[in-house]
Amino acid sequence: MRPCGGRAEALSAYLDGELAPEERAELESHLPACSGCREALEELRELGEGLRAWPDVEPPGWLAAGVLQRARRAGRRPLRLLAAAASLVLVALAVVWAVREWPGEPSGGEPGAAVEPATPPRPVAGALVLPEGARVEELRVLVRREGSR
Amino acid sequence: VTGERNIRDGRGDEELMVAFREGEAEAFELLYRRWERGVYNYVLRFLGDPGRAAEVTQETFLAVVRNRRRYRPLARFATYLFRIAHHRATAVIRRRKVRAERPLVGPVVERPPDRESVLAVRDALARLPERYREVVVLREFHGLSYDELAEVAGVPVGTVRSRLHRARAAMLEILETREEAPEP
Repeated sequence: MRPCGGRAEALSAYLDGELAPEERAELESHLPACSGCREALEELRELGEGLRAWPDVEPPGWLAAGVLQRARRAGRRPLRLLAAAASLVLVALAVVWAVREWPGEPSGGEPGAAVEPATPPRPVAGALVLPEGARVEELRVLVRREGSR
Repeated sequence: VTGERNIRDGRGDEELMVAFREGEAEAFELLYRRWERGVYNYVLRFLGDPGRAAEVTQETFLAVVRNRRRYRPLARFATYLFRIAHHRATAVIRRRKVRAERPLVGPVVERPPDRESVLAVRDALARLPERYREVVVLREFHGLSYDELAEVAGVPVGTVRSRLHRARAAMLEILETREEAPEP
């Protein structure tokens, strides 16, 4: 049955309880006198009931496991970042300490001063024997002479 | 309406979401348990494909997790959630060209007297264009108000009202035609 006077849209909104008070009052005063609108409203009601008779379906079981696992991982991310930052600070502190305490670097020595090794290196057969305390220039000359032999 | 204050916690959805934003991981689990079924069934009725419905449901909740720091309880959590699901589902429609005519799926209601009419109504819903089908699903199955439907679909309230009217009129027409058609 067709509702009268272009009231079809209003009937649909009336069914949903979404009409403005004045529009609702107008429709409610019209309905008792109009069988077409009453029947159209009844059809809409039945349609809604027919739709809602379609039950929900259970989502697949694997869905929750996947989403919740990823959500928990995301929740732990700030803690992981914090742990990584703390590790970096510890490493940096360790490096600073190691540099300061390095035994081969005298703290108060002259810049460029020769450092005495704890034990003298063993001479290798055929190796160039360098005079102790030789300057870089003298060493270059010596190397050139040895090479030209 | 699915969700709200059930599943082992007295807090409302919006409070739980705020708690999750503040780092309470269990709050998300509660929200998920409340809304998984609702979101899945909305998308299933909208797209008509269980595989895609599961995919979109997963994407929707993961988007909630990713964007939790930006969450503000300005509207009902349901509206917020369905809006995300709407965007994901319409992206699927655009990307994969889900056809409006595709029959909807799901277990058949085993109530013999109503079985035929339920199937007929489902078929009529499946034949609607997506923009009509969606408002019907959110209104009839999830009880969203016109304001909430407008928020989810990103259209004015007047458009929601007119879409619902047209959708219902089209469904009634499909059902009428079906009744008049001779038995095969």
